[in-house]
Amino acid sequence: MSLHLNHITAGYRRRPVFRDLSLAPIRPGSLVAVVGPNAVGKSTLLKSIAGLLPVVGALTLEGEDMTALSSARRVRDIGYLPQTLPQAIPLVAYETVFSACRAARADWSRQQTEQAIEAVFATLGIRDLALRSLAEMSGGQRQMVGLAQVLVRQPGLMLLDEPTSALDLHWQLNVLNAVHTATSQRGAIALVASHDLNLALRFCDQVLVLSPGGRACLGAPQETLTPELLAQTYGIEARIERCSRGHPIVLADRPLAV
Amino acid sequence: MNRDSPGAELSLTTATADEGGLAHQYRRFVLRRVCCLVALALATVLALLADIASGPSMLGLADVLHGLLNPQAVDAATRVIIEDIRLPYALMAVVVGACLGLAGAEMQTVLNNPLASPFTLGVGAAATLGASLVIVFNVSLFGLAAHVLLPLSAFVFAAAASLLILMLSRTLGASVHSVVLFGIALLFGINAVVGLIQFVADAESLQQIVFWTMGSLARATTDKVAIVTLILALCLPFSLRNAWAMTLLRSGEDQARSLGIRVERLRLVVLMRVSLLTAAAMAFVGEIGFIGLVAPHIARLLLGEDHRFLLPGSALAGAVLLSLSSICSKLLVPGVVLPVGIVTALVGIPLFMALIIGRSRRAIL
Repeated sequence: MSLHLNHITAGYRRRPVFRDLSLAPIRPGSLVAVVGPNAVGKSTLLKSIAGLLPVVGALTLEGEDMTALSSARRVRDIGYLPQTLPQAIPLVAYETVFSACRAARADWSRQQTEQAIEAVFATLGIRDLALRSLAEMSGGQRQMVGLAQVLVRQPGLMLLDEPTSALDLHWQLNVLNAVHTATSQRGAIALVASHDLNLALRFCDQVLVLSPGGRACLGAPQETLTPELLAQTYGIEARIERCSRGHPIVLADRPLAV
Repeated sequence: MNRDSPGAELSLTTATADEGGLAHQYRRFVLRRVCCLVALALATVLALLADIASGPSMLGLADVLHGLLNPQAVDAATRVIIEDIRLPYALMAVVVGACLGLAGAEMQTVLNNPLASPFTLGVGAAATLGASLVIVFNVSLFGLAAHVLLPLSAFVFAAAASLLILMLSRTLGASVHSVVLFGIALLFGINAVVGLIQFVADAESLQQIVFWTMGSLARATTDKVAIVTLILALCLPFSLRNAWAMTLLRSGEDQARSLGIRVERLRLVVLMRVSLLTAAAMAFVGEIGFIGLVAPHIARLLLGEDHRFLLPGSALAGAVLLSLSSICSKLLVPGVVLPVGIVTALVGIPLFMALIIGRSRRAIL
């Protein structure tokens, strides 16, 4: 399943956020970090691809025009995790995930659904939360349940808007490992909006850097995230160093004078 | 690139739903909820029987059961009291309570607001306006009698209020919070118009309007009970059909949209259903507050937010509450049957406050 964005204009009715955005095709099995400063349009891009905002241009998934997909196909093939956490209501995690699975995977038998739910709770390491109410969970725990709602459906395209924003380091690693497993095992594509450049460098196959003015740059993380691009995009002086294990890390030294 | 972690060891397709699995645990959890729902249904039946038994001449439970199941076994006076007076009255309390409880639960869900109810957003007030216009101006349309036109007018105005709220919010691209604000503004506006109508009304019409706004089950007849029951029976399956969509909507609007839920359409359909349920309930008994607000909260505390259980649970909680209010209305002042709308508010306020205080305490602890 490959994703292709060609001459895309997207955004809100009176304020398009992107004009004529084109990217090289994103290959099956890719985990792509979508990074950029605040309000640059990361969430807008994900929402547009998810079909929640109008799009003009060619947006194709496996060669098919995404804007022409039926609602059932869209729900089955595209999993979107919004930036907002699931609400703190008296709904237990199991039925939150079950309801999402039921909506997206009406073709599954009850046994298949139960197996998928069992597996996703185990994969994310949140089995102990299954019968806990969302009202009794922390923000991070609710974020994990929201992610389970997406992963359980096993979509070909995952659009995850800041999936680790409420998580501690342990769960950040757990989540990105689970997403990576999903992309590598099933050939799915994951677009993950994030502010954490180090997680992008460590886990992602590609990084899409969105800059103010609607400019976009897609490429391998270590080749794309250069001090020059970081200066242009974020207005910071930064270095790319390597830790004792050889992983590249971004070190932001100071903001550049405007 | 090091990608080792506990999560990466497990595949998404290898787990099984065995006896100790989550599915099994969840089934037991669901069974507890079913038991809770059955207990609410039993409480409704008990409240109904107690409502039939209570009144100026108190009846024993055995007399009530005999009167209902084997009318020939009781004397003629008891039979008349049960069949002609108490039964329509008590059944009306159950079905009206169920309508208001269900309407309140649906409204709170689609507006994502725990304070929403047919009355807090002006839908109930619009029904009162519709009824007041028919009473005061003695309107006659298409040869329809006033007793037919009054509920019809109440429904048309309730539906128009819902549509107005939706249109305003859609035109201005407003959030659900703005919808609530529009509703409250509408409530005050309509109350002002109703006040104006009361000001120009003659004494007899004014008395009818005041009696209507107090809410009373005394106007219940078998035919009216049948009409409200029919509307409830028509609405409930459609409500339950939307149960999954409403559960998803409650957990998060963006996620619900991405799962194919057409949120605007769902809101429109639900608000129309709420108008129908509210108008049907109010048309024959007048204004009865608090049931639509409190019953869904009681059901939520007992059954959680899964709308497969919350919706029927809210209807049952509403039925129990109004039945209990009906019993209180007959017992509070010996020999006098108070308008049930007054008693409902008196019973509803302490209960609602207790719920809010209980919730706050749990949050602190």
